[in-house]
Amino acid sequence: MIRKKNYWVGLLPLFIIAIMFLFVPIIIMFLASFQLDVTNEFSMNNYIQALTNPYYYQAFGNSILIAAVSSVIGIVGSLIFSYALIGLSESAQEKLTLFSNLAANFAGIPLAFGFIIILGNSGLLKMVFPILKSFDLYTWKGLVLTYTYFQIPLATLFIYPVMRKVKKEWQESAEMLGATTFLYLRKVVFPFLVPTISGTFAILFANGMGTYETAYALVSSNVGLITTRIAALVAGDVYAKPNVGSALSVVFVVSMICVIFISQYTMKKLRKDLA
Amino acid sequence: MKKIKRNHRLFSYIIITILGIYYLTPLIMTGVYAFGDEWGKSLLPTNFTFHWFNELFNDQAFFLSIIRSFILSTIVLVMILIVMIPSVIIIYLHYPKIDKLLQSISVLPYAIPGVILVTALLKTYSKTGVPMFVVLCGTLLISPIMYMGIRNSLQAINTKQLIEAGQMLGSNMITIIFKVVLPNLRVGIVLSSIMVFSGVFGEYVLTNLLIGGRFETLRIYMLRRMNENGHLASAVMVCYFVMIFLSGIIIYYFSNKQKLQLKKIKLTKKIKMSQEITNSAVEESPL
Amino acid sequence: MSYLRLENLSLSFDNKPVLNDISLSVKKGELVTLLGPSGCGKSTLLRTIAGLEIPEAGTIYLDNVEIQEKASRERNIGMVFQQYALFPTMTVYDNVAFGLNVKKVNRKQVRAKVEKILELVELTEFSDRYVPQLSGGQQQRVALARALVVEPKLLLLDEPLSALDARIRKQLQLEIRLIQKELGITMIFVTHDQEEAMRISDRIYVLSEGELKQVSSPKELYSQPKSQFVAEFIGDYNQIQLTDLIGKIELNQCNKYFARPEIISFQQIPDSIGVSVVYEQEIILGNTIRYQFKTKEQKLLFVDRLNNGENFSVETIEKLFIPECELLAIKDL
Repeated sequence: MIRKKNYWVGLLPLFIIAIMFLFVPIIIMFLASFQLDVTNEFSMNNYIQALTNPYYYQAFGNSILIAAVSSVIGIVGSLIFSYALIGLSESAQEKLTLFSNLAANFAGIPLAFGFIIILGNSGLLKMVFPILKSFDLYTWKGLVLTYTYFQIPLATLFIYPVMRKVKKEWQESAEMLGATTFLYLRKVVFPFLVPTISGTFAILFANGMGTYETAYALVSSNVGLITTRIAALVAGDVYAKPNVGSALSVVFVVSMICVIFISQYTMKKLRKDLA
Repeated sequence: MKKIKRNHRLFSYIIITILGIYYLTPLIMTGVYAFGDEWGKSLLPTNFTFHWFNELFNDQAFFLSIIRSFILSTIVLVMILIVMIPSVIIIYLHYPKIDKLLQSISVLPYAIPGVILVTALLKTYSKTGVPMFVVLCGTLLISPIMYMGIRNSLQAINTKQLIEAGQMLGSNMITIIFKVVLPNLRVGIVLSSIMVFSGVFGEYVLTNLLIGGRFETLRIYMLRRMNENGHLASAVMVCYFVMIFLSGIIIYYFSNKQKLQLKKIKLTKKIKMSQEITNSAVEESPL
Repeated sequence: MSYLRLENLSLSFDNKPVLNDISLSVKKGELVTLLGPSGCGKSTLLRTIAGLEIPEAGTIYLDNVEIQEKASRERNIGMVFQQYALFPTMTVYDNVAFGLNVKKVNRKQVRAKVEKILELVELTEFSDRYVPQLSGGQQQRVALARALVVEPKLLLLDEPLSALDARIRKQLQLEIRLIQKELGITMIFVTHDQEEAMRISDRIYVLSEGELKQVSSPKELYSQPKSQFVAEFIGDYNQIQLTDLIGKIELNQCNKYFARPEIISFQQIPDSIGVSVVYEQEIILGNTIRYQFKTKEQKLLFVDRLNNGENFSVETIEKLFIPECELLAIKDL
């Protein structure tokens, strides 16, 4: 029998890979963010650039706006969708859940392209419904519309299983005590879902902030987003300023962690019984 | 319950219809665009043609890109299997604390999205001699999907009890793992493998920013075509949709298999003592 | 004068009849039990009264008002469920106050009423606890308080004690009965446990396969079952073959004969019917000893005696005696 002490040897490959491709690069990136691009001197300049140059902080603001709005719509849409799912037969629920997971896979280029076809400048839907002609897909609103496509399935991944745990007896009790369905949803179901909702919001928000492919395919650099800016800084030919990119990245990661903490905090406030 | 249920079902049908329109329209329209020839001022084209598909299938770059994506996915998948399966088993059995830690790491892709990782990787490896292809593969190895998939399977088949039963019957650890645990994990592994494979197949950010110029995968090809010729692009999309749909069906098939397997395990547990099943599972595998 | 009246209620699920032309009535302040085996339709009947199931035919009158068209929330009927169904994110206080808050009762009154009802169910110290912190019995008492505090016209209880341990169950049976009597509230109780039904009810409705078999007081139900089903369901009636009975029996179109184990005598008594038997064994049931015999027709016959130390030399008994008036004759199909 192999003695317990030696088991960690089997984990070496995983450790090595994690170190080589995750931990070390992140540390190096963190360090690089404090170094100027050409001279490699240590300075806070990159961060100053990141936070004061409108080219960057506007991109940040845009990303936040789009991520926040699409997350809210994603959660509301997912709540409605999950509630609708539960009213169907088991086999219908299974098939629709599968389709929902597939839809999340369409994110990126196919999704952007699909929307361009229907709502782009000469989009097919615009031909049929002239009122849509004024809608510009290549703005933040268009991005929100597109992001929602994968935000709803992503949220459903978390919200649907928890909603299934809602017992029908709760609704029956509430009915007998005189409550309307709406009141029941508001006072019984919603508080029950709050922890899941806040956790899911954090994930959706981070997902919206961090998505690159869809945004790039849709608007490339026309609407400034933090992800495309970082990519341009790091891998672009003309603007290569990898250290500023690193600084922006660090700011990004730190703000994501903050968001996660805030969502945990609000959840504890709303559900004192979980404290 | 009938009254509440009836109202609920009506609501369900309405919502699914509305959402269905939102979700299917881009897909269907992409398909129409791929087969369409001329357009008047209407939604549907006046002519249908296979012309675009012809052009697509005559483009060597298309097939090459698929092959490249395939190669990448296969290599990554094989490496993940070799590295992850033993690692997950070891962690699950002997290091429960790390197990708990790693479960919370499944949110990693959200806190550190592709772009950020690329920044870090380029900073680290761009001046070294390490080929970017290796960097790409290495990074894609860090996949929560495979970890969670295997781990949940391990838990569902009651691995600890299987091992105890095997030890009681006198065999050593390695034999147990190879002849008992792994066969039972097969379905779970297949499921996770498919998901990893299609995940890498559809990966864009890391691939493009690390080696995109020299290694055009299917997605990168897609974007290039999208900016050149819309119809061709939609033909590519249609092919891509078909692939995803097929993999979806395969996933459905295997996850049902897994559900059946787990149901069988649960059911027999209710009828017999759990020790008996583990004994029979151990006996059925050639020991 | 009936407070609740059901007339010709029928209901099917998927073309299978679940309730078959059922009529019953309940007086104000009564505790009536719907008793029957699993699947007999008793829960469905209760839920139909509550408005959670819709009947295909029939009328329901509550306090002389037709209610079968009304939504559950307008019927002013309270309900307690088998799995308590307490709202998981609220404290005991909030759970109990829920119905009052729906009616927008002002806060002071809510507090007064909730505190009073919590006292009644003896849960005053638990007012600020959350549901997962309570035991099963406590949760059920909260469910009871929640239903009672809004002063419904009728309280329905759907096997409320089935999920609890035997000892707590017995305790709560008594408590529920006491509360019911104290508040004077009309209650309909559903259970499959005939002992439970006997302990707390004013009257019992026995159901089988969607039909009412008998309605009587507990005493009457026990000593005068009107069908084989009821005789076998309530208590431990012995079924005896006609050919085993020795003595003068009026046939009267009856074809099934039953006798309770406790009234069978070991000794000859006047006006009795005899049965030839062979002694087999004794079974200790706790405060009863059950003596097992076999008749000439190879049927088992049980005789019960109190386990109070009396000695019966049963091994040599060859004949048992059933008082004529206690031999139950039922015409059954």
